[in-house]
Amino acid sequence: MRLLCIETSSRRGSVVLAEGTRLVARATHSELNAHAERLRALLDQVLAEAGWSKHQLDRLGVGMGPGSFTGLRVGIAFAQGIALGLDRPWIGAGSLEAMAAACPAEVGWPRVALLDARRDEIFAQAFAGAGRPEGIAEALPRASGLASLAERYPGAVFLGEIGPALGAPSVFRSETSDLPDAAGIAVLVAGRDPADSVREPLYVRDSGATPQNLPPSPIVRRAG
Amino acid sequence: MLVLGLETSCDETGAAIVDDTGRVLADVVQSQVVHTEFGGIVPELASRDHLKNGGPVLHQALALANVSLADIDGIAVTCRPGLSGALLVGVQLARGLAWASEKPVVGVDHLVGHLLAVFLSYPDLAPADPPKLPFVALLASGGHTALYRVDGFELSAVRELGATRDDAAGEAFDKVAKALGLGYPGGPVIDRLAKEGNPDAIPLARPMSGKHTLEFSFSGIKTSVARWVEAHGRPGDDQTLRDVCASFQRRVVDTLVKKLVLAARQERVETVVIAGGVAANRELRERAHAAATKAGLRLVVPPFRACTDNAAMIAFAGLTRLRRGEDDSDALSVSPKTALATVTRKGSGRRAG
Ligand SMILES: Nc1ncnc2c1ncn2[C@@H]1O[C@H](COP(=O)(O)OP(=O)(O)OP(=O)(O)O)[C@@H](O)[C@H]1O
Ligand SMILES: [Mg+2]
Repeated sequence: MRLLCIETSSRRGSVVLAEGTRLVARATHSELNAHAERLRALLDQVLAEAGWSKHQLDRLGVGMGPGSFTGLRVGIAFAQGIALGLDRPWIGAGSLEAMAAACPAEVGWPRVALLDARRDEIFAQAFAGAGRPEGIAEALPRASGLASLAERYPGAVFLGEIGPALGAPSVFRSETSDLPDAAGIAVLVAGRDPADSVREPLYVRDSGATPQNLPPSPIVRRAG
Repeated sequence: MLVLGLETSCDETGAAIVDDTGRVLADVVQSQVVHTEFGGIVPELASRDHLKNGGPVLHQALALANVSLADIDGIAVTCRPGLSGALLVGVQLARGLAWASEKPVVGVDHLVGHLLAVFLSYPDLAPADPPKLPFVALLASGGHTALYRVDGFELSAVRELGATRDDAAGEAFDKVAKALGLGYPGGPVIDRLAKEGNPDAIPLARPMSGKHTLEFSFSGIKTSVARWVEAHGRPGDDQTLRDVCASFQRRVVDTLVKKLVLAARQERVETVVIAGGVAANRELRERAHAAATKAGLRLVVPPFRACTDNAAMIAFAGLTRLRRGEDDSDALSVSPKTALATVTRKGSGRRAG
């Protein structure tokens, strides 16, 4: 099965082609706020490198977050457009899950994926053996989040480029587990039943807007 | 030639299929309701909703038009002006689609879309007689209010003659509705209530009625309504509420109509057009018609559904460039600002006129 996967939840955008779980080509960029401008060129690059045509693709995979709200949507909408244009299914997978899935087998479990969430918070999610999620992705205070995770998941291996800065006790570092990456998405999506696709972005945080609670006028109340 | 249009600039998700004569084969608009409780549009919620509905709306448009993607010759997508995060959803969908199906995609200025909406024809409506070029158009929507001279179907053939210095007309409707506790959007509710109100009952400021300027200002009348509410409280009975709505609407419509006719005289055109969400207003349509007739002008008004945000007008506005073989695949960026040159500086305050 030939996969095209896209991941744009963090500052690094990545695109990979995979044959089943075997990575065939990967391209990335780290230009600030430029996922929308850079994605298409990355696609053309990996296809050229692999010598594949877009029509040979069997399915699309995309990282569903958590991460930058806008960044996520840029990747997801793009993947949806491609899926529609090629008439192939798109399958969504968690971006923190992709970090855990991108580690070599010898890295132990549980694995706790960490990602900078800005606003003095981190996104985190733990995974037990074989990648089974232990609870959902959450946003935690940057100052205290790690301590609470270490307590909840004794002996865990922490993943993510921010691990050392947060003082994580045991950190595994690698290119494709340091940040969410399309390589990890490919591992997840290769074997996933389309029915188990994550369909909505994992925003974790709400929009920050507050309702106004205006009393409706008498007329409107009656009409409604 | 068939064009697929996509619109996600504000709070409606739209997809449409339009042919090169402006005939609308399908026009799907999903209006977001998530903003109602916030009394205005929350950009993050708008973006979330566009992403959720973009794919389904697109599928629905293709299905309704009974065409497949293979039948489409090009894609047109709103890329400005609007909420950046919202625009990005439509632009990325369009980009992905264009790349995968190897079709050209062009970015469309939403305001040009509104101005050309008058050329659309719908299979279920009596065929409209489109306006002859050149014409003067009043565009009054939630985010914009301006007069334009339109000499052709392209950005370079559209010239702004004057615009609002502060609030847009639709924005004034929305803010007044909010002050009266009528919810969002305010235009349709005020329109409905004003019908049975007395427009002379409540003394309100006149929105910049200066005779010789083509610029507008609606913040004065908005404040005037807010002051009235402060002094009298929210209308306690239905008739007072109707009177406030009628008095507000009458003044706004008066100004819009006067300036439209003035602009047409200055530009020596024979045809005038009204466009944008506020053009759905009954009183505006009636009074513009009467004033145009009196001035010997022909008024052309788009059907209701073409006035508020929709993707059919975007498809039509993209047509000219697609027909010429242009393609923005490599340069499609979003912007909160229109690409039309403007002559009115926002916030430049009240001038003698
Ligand atoms: N019947 C009506 N009378 C007055 N105003 C109306 C009516 N119907 C809709 N409106 C107003 O039109 C606006 C919506 O129009 P439209 O969808 O064209 O604008 P927008 O997309 O919000 O703004 P823009 O097009 O400038 O980006 C709202 O402000 C709404 O209150
Ligand atoms: Mg609009």
